[in-house]
Amino acid sequence: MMRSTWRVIALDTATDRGGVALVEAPRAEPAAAQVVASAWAERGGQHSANLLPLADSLLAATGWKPADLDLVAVTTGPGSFTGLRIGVTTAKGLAYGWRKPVVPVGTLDVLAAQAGWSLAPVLPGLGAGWGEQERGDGRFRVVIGAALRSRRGEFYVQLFELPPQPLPLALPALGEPQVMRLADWQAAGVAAGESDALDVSSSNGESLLVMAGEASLCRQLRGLWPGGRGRIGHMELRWAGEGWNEWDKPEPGTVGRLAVAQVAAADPGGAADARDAYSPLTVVPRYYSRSEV
Amino acid sequence: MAHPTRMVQPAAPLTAAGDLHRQPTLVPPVDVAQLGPVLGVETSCDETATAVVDASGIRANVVSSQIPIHRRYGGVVPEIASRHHLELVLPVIDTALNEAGLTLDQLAGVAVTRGPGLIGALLVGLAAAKAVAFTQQLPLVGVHHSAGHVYANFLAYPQLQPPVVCLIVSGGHTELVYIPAHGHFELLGQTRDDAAGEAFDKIARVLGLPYPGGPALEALASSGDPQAVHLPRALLPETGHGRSDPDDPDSISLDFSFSGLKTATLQVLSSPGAPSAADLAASFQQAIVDVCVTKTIAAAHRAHVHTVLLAGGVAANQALRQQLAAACHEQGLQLFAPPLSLCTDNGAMIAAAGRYLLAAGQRAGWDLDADPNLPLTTRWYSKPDPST
Repeated sequence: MMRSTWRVIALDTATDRGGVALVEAPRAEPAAAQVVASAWAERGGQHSANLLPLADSLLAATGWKPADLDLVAVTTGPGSFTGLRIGVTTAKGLAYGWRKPVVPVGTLDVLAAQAGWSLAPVLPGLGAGWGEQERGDGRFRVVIGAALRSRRGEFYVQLFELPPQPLPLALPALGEPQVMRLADWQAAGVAAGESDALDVSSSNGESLLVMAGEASLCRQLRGLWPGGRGRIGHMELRWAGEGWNEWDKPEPGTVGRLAVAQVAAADPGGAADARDAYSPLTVVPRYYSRSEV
Repeated sequence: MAHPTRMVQPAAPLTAAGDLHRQPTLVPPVDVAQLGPVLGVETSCDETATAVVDASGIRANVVSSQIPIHRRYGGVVPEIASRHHLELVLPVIDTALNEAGLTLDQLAGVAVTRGPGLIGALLVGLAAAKAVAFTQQLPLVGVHHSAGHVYANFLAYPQLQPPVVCLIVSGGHTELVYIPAHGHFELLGQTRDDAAGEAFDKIARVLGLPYPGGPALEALASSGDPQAVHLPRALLPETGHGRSDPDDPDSISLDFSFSGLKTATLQVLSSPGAPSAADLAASFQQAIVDVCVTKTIAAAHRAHVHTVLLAGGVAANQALRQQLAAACHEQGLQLFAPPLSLCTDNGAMIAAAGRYLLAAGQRAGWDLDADPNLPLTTRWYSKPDPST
């Protein structure tokens, strides 16, 4: 008999942080996905040694059996190439052995979702900086720019819409992740919404771009825009920093929750087997490198 | 919004990653002939290889070579190799199990190459092997790549027993190893610079031959005169000996050096009146074969063994096989070399070596990690490496 919940084991090794989470969601209400257990190690370069012991500990602590699991979720990029390969290969191996589907989750989707959850309670405060306008009335639009450092002085960025409450689990993306040089970022800032690369303009009002991701990177990106925090054209850049964003790195629990959202969206009834769409034999990382080797 | 993460305190403390790591353990040994089928996974360079080996031999041996992919770069590009391993490793595991007619839960264990090799490539095979083993809680063991090459012989010749001396020659290795008993390795000598196969590849590239250069150079050499060009043979004197005397095995170092030979060959090529490419290839190959044969015979005498093994990708070289066989015959030594299909990297040799480790009771933890510079240590399963 099918259990009334989805159970997910989620892996993430896209950044220095490598972790595992167990997530459970009612099939009837995927948005209520809860992180049952989560653990990670802030030790880049040791993902290979850490990942399975972390999974082993969480499964032992919760008493979850492999047969209880429905999905294996993993961040597929962007991120450290080696880290992605360790996470994705481990996810493929687990899913193959347990005969479960692998659900690929974008690293920047994870950062954006985390920023969205952090921002939701403080949005009225943000709005105050824009006069008396209420968020969600179409007067201004909040766009989240999820950013992640790349290795060669470049960074990955992807824009997401922050829709009106209640927040969905996954924020709708405004385009694909892209690799940008800092100089390109500066140019996009000068163009302020007229750039094709970073179009965050609003047809009927002001826009607010909130950067999400590693604090040091967000600070650097903000500093590169003329006027720093001030208005550029009709767009203001802010940074989802301390106090706004509790997680500036991907959290494996978020990976699991987004996997639930993805599967629920693809299969609203939750009845069909997701195995074919997410075969462990075919899932690969998405590297998003500027120069594909 | 409340923090959506609810932490459950795991059974083991998570504060220090070290606490998580299960140490390698020893369980009571069993007879290797009683051990069920073992899956072997090898991804240390440019072959994605898996196999299933049981007491009766090879049940499946699947090698997906990336040679055509790397050929246009003239060598193995690590990032490309890692990407292809990731795409291929699970399908290749699946194929091996299907060919063996087995499911994962019917295996007695999983053996995987943990080094030496390309770190990114090793990590992919390791992640896949560990994860599939984890799903069925199968015994897991990490295998030294060179130990795998040695065990290709024990796999091909079941009657073979230690003690033996083995010459391992490949694109990444040139080693003389003494194996007093199963799973015990004593390094007698190794290259101080290029591996033999590496020297082959480099000269082949200069001669304009396609990648991989070893087989292409061998083919060219077959029509050349091996005595046409005089090239140096670096025998290297053993410590305490002023010079090496080919007639005194004790005076010859068991280490190798091919950089002088490489330089001399390049000088001949660039000098006026250069010989034909075939003559140069044949002379170069002969110099390598001479050094390998002399040192292997010396090693056998010094280790007091009667059996010599040849292993590694360069063991497919016919000149080396034939001349080492002739020299061994002359010295009353018995030579074994694997069939050509087991000379190049493959999963069966890893499974074969892994079977002896598993039978001896060695078990790796789930934290088993890659080591791109893994030494071929002595007695490496009776004393688990404390650094792992």
